[in-house]
Amino acid sequence: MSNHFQILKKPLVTEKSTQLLADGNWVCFRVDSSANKIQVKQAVEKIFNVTVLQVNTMVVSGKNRRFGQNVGRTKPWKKAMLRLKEGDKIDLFEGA
Amino acid sequence: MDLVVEELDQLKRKLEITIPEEVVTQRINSAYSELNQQMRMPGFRPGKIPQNILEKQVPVQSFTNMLQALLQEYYEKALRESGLAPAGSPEIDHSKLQDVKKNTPLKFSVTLDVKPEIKIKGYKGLKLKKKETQVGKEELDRAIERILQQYGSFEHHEDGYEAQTGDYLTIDFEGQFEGQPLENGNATDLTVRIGEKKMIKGFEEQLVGHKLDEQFEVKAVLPANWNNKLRRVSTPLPGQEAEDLATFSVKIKELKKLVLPELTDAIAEKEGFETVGQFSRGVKTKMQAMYEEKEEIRIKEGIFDKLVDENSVEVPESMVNNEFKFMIEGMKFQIEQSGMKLEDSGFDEEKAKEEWKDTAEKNCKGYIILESIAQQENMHVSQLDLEEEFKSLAEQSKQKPEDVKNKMMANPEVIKHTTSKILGRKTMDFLYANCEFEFVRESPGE
Repeated sequence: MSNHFQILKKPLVTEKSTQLLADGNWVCFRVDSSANKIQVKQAVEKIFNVTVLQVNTMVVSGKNRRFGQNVGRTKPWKKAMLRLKEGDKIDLFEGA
Repeated sequence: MDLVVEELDQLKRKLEITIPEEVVTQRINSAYSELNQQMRMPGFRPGKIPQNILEKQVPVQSFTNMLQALLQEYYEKALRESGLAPAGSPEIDHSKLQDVKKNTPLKFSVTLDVKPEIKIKGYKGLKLKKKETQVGKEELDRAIERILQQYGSFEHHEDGYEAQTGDYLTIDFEGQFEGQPLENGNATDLTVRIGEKKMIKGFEEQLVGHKLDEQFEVKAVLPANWNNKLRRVSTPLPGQEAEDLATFSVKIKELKKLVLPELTDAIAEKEGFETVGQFSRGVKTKMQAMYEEKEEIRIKEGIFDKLVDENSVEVPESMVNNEFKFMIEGMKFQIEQSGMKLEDSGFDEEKAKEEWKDTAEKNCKGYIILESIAQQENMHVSQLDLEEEFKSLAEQSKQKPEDVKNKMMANPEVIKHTTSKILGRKTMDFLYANCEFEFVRESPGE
C-alpha cells in the first residue's frame, strides 16, 4: 500500500485521546486494517512532518448492532497510537 | 478598572473604560464551561469537552450576551465611580468586542449625554394667582338636577305636540352625502335629547318644532373626524366647507319628556345621605373639591411653565429623543386603544416630531429643573412611596398590588421611570406648598 493517505482513515479526537495527548504526546488514528506499524509510522511522518517514536496498534472489535429485527455486527477496525517526539504537533488534534 | 473621562462638549462625555484581564478571563472561562454542558461533540460526554478544543470550535466573540452584560456592568460601575448623571441612553462602542481575548484587558468607550448641573433659584415662594371658586346656587341646582335625572320617569307628550329643547326623542334616520348613502350615518330607535349636543352640529336644533310620526329632512355639516378617520387635526379634511352638507331623513317615533321627581329624603338616602340638606351640602363639597383640584393642576402647570421660562437650561439631545419616543409611543397606544388602526389614523411620526419639538424640549427642561430642585432640597423616593404607587396602579388596573410590584420590579427600566415620576410629583407638591398665593374670587363657569 504505497499511498499514505489510504493508510490513515481519520484522526481520533475523543476524551481518551486528548488525555493521552496531554499525558505523553500520543496521537491516535483509525487506520486501514491491513496496514502494519511500519506503514503507519511512515505515513504519519510523511504527511504531518513529525517524528514518531513508538507505534502501538490494536484491532477494535466490531460491536453487535440491531436494527429492528435484523441483527448485525459492525466491522472491526484498526486503531493506531503513535508517540511523537517532544515538541512535535499535529494541528488536527489541537481542536479546529 | 481604569477610567478616563473626556469632555467632548458641554453635555457630552466620552468614557474610556478598561476592564482588567482577570475579569475578562474569568468571564470567558465561565461562559465556556456553561456552553460545555449544552454542547454535544462526538467522542466526548456532555460537559467533558476540553476547553482548548471548545475554544477552537466556538470563538469568544459569539458570547454576545455575556459580553454585552459585561460592558453594561462596567459602564454602570464607571458611572458610579465618576459620579456622572446620564441623560438619555448611552452609546456603547461595540467595535472593540472583535478583539476580545483571554488574558488581555478589554478596552471600550462610551459616549453619553449628562444632565446639566444647575442651581435653581427662586423656586420657593413663587407668587401666583389662585382662583377661589365658590359654587353658586344656580350651579348647585344644575348638578342636583343631573343626579335627579337618574330617578326621573318618562312621560309621552300628547299628539300634536311640537318638540322643544330638552325633550327626549326616539328617531330613525338615514344619512346621505353627495347623493351617496353615508357610512355609519344610519340609526334606528336612537334616543336623542335635544340640546345635549351629542349629535353632529346643527342636527339637534333642526329637530325642534316637529311632531310625532313626522318625516322630514335635516341638513348638517359633517365634522372633520367623521367615521373616526383622520383624527389628527393637522391634515386638512373634506367636509368642512359649507357645501359639504349631508342630508339626513329623519322620522320621529317617540316624543317624550323627562319628569324630575321631587328631591326627598328617600332619594338622598339612595345617594348615601340622610337628609335633603345633607345631600345638597355633600354635592356642594364634592363640586368644591373638584374645582380646587382643577385649580391645583392649573397652578402646578403654571409653576412648571414659570420655572422653564425663568431658568435657561441646556437640554441634552438624547434626552429629548427619549421624550419623543415616549410621546410617540403614548400616542400610538392611545390610537390603538380607541380601536383604530395605526395606518388609518393618519398619524405621522415625522410630522409629530416636528410639531412636538417645543413641547418635548420644554418637558425635558422641566424634568431637569424639578430634579435639581429635588436634589437641592434633598428629596428622595422612599420604599414607602413606591409601595403606594404600586397600590394606586393596582387599583387602576384592578390587579393585586403584589402582582404589579413583581411585574414592575422585574424591569429596572420601568422602576427607574416610576421613581423619577414619583420624585417629580413630590417636588411639585413641595413647590405648590411653598407658593405664595394671591387669592382671586371667582364664580364658577368662567
